Amino acid sequence: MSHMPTQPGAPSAMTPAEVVAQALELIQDSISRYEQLQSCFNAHNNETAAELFGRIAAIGRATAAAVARLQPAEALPRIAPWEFLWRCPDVLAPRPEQPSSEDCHHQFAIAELVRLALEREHCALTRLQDAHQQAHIAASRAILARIVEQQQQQLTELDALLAAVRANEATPPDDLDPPNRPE
Amino acid sequence: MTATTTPTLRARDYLSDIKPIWCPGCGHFGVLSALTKALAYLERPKEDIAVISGIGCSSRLPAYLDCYGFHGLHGRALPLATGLKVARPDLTVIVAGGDGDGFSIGGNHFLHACRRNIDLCYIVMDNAVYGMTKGQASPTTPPDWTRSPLTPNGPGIPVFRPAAIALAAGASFIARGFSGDPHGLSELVARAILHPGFAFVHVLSPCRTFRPDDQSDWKQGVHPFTDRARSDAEAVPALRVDDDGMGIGVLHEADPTAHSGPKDTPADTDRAAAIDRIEAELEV
Amino acid sequence: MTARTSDHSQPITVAISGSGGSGALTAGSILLAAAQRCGRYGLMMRAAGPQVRGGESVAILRIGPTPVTNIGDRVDLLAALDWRNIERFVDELPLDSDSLILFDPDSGPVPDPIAASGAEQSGVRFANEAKAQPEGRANMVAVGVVGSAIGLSLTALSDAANEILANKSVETVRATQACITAGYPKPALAAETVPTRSAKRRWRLSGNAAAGLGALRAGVDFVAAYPITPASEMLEWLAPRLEHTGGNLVQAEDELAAVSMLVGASFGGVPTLTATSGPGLSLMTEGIGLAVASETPIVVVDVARGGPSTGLPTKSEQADLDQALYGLHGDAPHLVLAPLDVGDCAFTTEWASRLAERLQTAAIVLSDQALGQTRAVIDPPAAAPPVPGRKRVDQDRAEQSPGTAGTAGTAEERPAKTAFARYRQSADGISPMSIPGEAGLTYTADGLAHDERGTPSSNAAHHRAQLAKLADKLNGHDYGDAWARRDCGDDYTHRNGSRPISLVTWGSSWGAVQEAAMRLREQGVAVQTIALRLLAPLQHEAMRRALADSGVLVVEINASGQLFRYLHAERVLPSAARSFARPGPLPLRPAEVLDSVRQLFGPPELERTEAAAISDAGSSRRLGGQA
Repeated sequence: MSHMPTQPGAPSAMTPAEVVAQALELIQDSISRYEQLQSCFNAHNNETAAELFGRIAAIGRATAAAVARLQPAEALPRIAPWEFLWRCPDVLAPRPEQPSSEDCHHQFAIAELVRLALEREHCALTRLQDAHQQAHIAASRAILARIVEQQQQQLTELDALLAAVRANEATPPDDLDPPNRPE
Repeated sequence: MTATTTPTLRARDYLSDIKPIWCPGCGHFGVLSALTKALAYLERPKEDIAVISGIGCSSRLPAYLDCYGFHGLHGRALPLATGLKVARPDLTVIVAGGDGDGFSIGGNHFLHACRRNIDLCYIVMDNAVYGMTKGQASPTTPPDWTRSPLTPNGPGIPVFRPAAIALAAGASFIARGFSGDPHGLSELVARAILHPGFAFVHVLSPCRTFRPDDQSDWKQGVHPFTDRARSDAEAVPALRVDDDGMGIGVLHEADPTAHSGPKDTPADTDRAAAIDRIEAELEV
Repeated sequence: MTARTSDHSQPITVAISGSGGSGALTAGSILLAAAQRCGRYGLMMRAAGPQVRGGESVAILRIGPTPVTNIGDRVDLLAALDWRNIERFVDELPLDSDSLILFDPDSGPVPDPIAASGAEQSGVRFANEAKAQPEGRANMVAVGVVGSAIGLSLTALSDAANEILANKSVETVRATQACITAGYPKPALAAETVPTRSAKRRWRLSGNAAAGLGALRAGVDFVAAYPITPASEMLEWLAPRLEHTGGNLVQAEDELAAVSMLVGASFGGVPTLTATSGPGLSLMTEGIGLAVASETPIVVVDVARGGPSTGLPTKSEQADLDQALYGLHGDAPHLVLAPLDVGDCAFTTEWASRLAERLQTAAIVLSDQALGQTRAVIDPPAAAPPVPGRKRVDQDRAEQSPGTAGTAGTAEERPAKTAFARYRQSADGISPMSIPGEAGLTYTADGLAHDERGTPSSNAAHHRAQLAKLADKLNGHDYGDAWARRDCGDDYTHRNGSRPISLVTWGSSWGAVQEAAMRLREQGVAVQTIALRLLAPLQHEAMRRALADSGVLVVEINASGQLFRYLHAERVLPSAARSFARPGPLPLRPAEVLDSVRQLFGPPELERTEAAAISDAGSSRRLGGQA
């Protein structure tokens, strides 16, 4: 690599291949983050949360597989990470309404975690819907419609997951140990 | 967009199987993502990458990559990486660490790495707190931050200004990124890796455990750096006066050959013959 | 001239002193170079005031027909160009009634502290003689006078001057030659008749240069260092030569950086070395511990000076042994070696590097100012014994094949992750090491306690296993017989119930101890010398065997008997062993060792039982025997 790519073209002019490539980056990035959180909660001995993110990642992988099947004949273009258009806030991004460390730690309420994941996936849906409305190329528009469907299906599954979790939710116990000093 | 074949390695392929010890919500996860995205994009073979760190939460990063790594001494990541890069210029050498490691105990090495201008990519995950030792003030902690029992009245001294100091010390590439936007950050990291000299990437990477009070609004606070990439001396006052510490982007980029590190001198092809000649000097 | 100066079959010690840039050191360098040309051996020590330029200085040389191991007991001939600040050097110029002082009467009479020695005095108008030559210099007149007195040919002096002054102007060189000739007595009277032996392969170099040569011989390709007296010359010697051998030298911002740069370069597969002195060694200790824990080979040459703290930057002491042995926190076994003479700086440094590479550890080489800044004419030093290089993975790749590690429920999608066991146990404690660039063998080196893969672990079993590995690989290695230089003479036996004497020493003290032993043998005493080159890991069994049934005296130049304490702590000394330890900076002289032996073991001509010798241990506080 001798140069950095330039700014991406106008979103409205995306080809079907570009649409699929962008969508796969959107989904894969979410999956990677869920896997990161799975291993993170695993490392903090919160097996329930780890397992939950494992399940959310699995739902994401199903969506990714479905979207990959929409791939047009031509090879997908390679998107530099910074050319990715449909960015959403991180699941556990710090937010002003959570001014305390007690709102984000290793003993997170499980339902809250699902809600945060849903928030991210709703954001993803919004990005896809916007792209669908803006798309000028008919084929791209058609593929985006299918992708939106897949994303909605994913949200339905996450909703179901949230309902199940809420039914069994217990209040997380207080963390009786202060932060550790490993080094 | 650039149409090429599917890359052989994806970002996740650069991860090892070791689970990060970072807290949920830690900004460093975003840096890890950005770094793996950049490496995959640049198609660097895993074995040709060495990630060097010191001590601290962020310095745990090398083990989370399936590359060569060295988790060394607190504050000494830059010299360790310098030795490696000088001895092995064929490698891509990335240095990762935190604000305490890089700006406090390793502060002198930071200055001289900027001067020396060896081809390193130095990523500092700045959360303005010592996380691993449980929440003490760091060089970038505001003077009035009173939540550490070690400095109950606040550290009381002005913050270290990493970008301005790097510029004054002669760094030829300075960028600031935000861990909450791994895609955007990956561009800065990729550019830093490609920069053929010392490249400093200052990453605002919030600590959800010890600094939730005043870092939760970083996402709203960051903004594109407007006075981009000036390479002349004006950039120094620009960074000092205009920069609010939250401007994201490439802050400075200069020709790294303007000052250069150790030169490659052509060696004698036959090492034994060279030593024989050196020994002959010792005779009459 | 006295009988002593005209007898060229014995070594002779000469000193040239002067101030204000008078060129005493240059004169000494020319004399040493001339001695090399005449087939002599020799060494030259130097002492200087604190001024960077224009201070007073003295060059002390000992020249002889056989290898010169130490500076001797007495200055036989002092050539004083002037007397300014000479009192600073009185202690370093041991003169007696057999000595001869050549002084310039135009600079005033011989000062009392010098005259008190009772040495013969003879006026030579060095400066006036020099004035007769355009741009003439008194020091070069002295070169001619002293050179002839010690039997160096005018041709050799002239050639040596051309070499030493190669960078000076034609006029300067011409004036120098004229002055040397003017100072040199007419051929009929003097040593022009002494045959100029065609020097067989004989080298002239400093201990610092020799150590640098040892590094090159070992294949050191990366040096990082911070300037410090008296180690800087080693770095300055290496810098241009590394360019020819394909290596790199980085001047670091401090010693903390220097040692870390070594660890980084070595991690990259390149043999590395730094040179420093006590204050720098203190700063490097954390990094040395990292090299030990991460099993990354490095070599640190400590050209020791007097301590503690900033201490005596330009003068010697053997007082860093405790730090080299014990300075690292935690249980951090590593190599500590000490060269025994100027030439041995090459041998020991090369050996240290080869051992460090093989054993994947840190080696500290304890040279000192007395070796490092002494220039000597010597036989070319031997190469270090062969040691296999780094144990690499390709030797047993099959055993090391990367595995697939568990990956938290998503293994079906993930490619195999490298699981190279960089720190795995092995029979000899040495784990195969990969270097960056080798595919499928990635790992993260760590200074944290770790498991076989290098993953940080505070597990007790992991800690125990890794600590045992660090110790086993050092203790299990066969160091051969290079661990010490042992000389038993021809007649090291027991006789009439008297035990022979073992003189145990290390590092730069070897030369004076060796000469003392030779003199003792001339007096009929059965004595051996054991000079430790490998101080850690200590070769316990070999030491015990060598010392068996002898009266032991441990000789060293530091205030507290650091070697003596170490050997006792390691239980290799007989309980009646005695210590001769005194601080620097004055170089050890054979007579001091002889005095100590006489005091502790009785007059050598009397064959006394060892028990009697011990009861006569004396009350001097420097004799640090145990209670």
